[in-house]
Amino acid sequence: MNGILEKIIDEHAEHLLRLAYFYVKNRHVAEDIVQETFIKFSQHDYEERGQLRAYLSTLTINKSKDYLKSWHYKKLIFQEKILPVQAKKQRDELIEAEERSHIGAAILKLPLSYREPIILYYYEEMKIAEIAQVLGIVENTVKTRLKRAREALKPHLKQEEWEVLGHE
Amino acid sequence: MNEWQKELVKVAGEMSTSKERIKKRILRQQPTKQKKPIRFALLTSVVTLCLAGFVMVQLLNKDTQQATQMFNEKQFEYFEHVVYLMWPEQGKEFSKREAYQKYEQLVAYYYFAKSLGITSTKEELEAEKKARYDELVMLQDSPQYVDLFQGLGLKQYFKTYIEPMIPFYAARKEMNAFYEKKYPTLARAADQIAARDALRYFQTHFAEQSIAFQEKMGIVNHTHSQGSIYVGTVIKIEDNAFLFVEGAIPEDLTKLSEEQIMKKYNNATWYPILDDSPVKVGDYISLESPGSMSYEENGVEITNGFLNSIEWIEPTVTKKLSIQNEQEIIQFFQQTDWQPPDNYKKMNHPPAYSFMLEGVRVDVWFSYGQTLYLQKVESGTILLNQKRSEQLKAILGLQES
Repeated sequence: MNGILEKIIDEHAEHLLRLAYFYVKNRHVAEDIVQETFIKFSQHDYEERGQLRAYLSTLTINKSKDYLKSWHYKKLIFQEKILPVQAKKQRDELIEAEERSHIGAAILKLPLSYREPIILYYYEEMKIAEIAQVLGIVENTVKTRLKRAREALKPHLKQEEWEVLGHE
Repeated sequence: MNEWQKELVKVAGEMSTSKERIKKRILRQQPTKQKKPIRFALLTSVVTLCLAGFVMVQLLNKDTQQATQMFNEKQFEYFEHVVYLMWPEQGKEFSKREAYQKYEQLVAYYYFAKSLGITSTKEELEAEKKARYDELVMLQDSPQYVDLFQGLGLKQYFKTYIEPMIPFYAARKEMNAFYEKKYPTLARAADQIAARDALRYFQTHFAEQSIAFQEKMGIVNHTHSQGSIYVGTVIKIEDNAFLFVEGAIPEDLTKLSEEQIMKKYNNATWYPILDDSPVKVGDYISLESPGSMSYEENGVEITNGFLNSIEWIEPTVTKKLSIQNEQEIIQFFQQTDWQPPDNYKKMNHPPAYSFMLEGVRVDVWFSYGQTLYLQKVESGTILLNQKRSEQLKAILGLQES
């Protein structure tokens, strides 16, 4: 099992780490989430039907969203509001992200309801129907959120950056 | 890859170090089964059956009783109510899981304190009782708490749910005070260190009772998250705490001052010295930490970390190789698909080996499972698979670290 699991981790871990990071915006938390994903995967019988990445992605998305709803996360947000050092750390992370990609950082700043469809549509390359299923909303709502997310992003990007994205 | 993906990949930054870290953590947790000879297996089964019988009798007589004393459904119910009141939209499963974590933590303080011989006096218990009661009186004005009292009224509610837990709350207070004295350097994080130590003690000694209670209450997830692994050097010791710099090697201490090391690696964290793992300045260690907290003191940011465990390792110091069989190595690299150099890719410790090939430097790290991770100036990086790693090791004559 170890050999197979190691191969699966090698193949999918970085993709899942990024996916978790887009949700939680914290590298260490993303590591914990992906670790739990693989542990859960290794404890369950999974029948391979060419859907492994989608399966692992779904586990990662669910765990990331669980984290964002968790007591621990809400406490952290509260601490950021009242403790200047915590807030500074968060700001530093955002500045680093900004240096890596201005466009990417602008996406990370979007509220989750807009950020999530962008991640699933562009990064996960899911179809609208699949996103609707994952988010438990109707397809039209997915389309509306994607449209609004792009609109929300536009004022933060320069003209040439906007053109790089090709709008769609 | 579409343009959006490219930007998202860029903003996430380098993830290979994180990947290696979680791989190491996950694979370490996988059980390794070794084949035993049949006779030994048979003997093992017989002994196991005898032991199981013995343990069963012991459990029926003692541990079941202990478990029921250790965890109480009424007390758990209290935490469940509170969590549900605060997070109604999360549903029952979430409430149970969160409630259990809070309840287990509180119980853990009590048993940990007991193991250290720390007990509360009658006065301390009375003071805790008064404080808890006053808190409830204050909270009863909140409309949410009307539901919590479930028609019992404040006094009866307190008697039913909270009063039996007074020794737990008092133990928490004692442990926090004890830890503040024990770790003056980590005073701001002392209560969290106490909480983690208590939980670690509890989960080591009462894991069965914990799982049994969770199963009884239908709590789905009874796993606890692990920490992250960091490798570096202990550069200072102060009052039961040590200053650890991730990425630093013991050799740095001979060339640089503490301040220079901290500045160079920009990654210094104070950790508590665990009673069973004493460290000294210059130790090169791999530690597992579930998290850290930072604060500012006199304009300096200080980080206090929490610690699960420590492993001592041999310092990795780069050894320069002088190449005799350059052509063979060039031929080996002809089949190498170097990944483009990535500015964000940075290993957190120095390479084990380094050599010059056609005037270009190649750095070699040992990665997980003794595979090799290479970085060639101007070419990029590559993580070789097991077979290719073995081939290169043979060509370079490398010893495993």
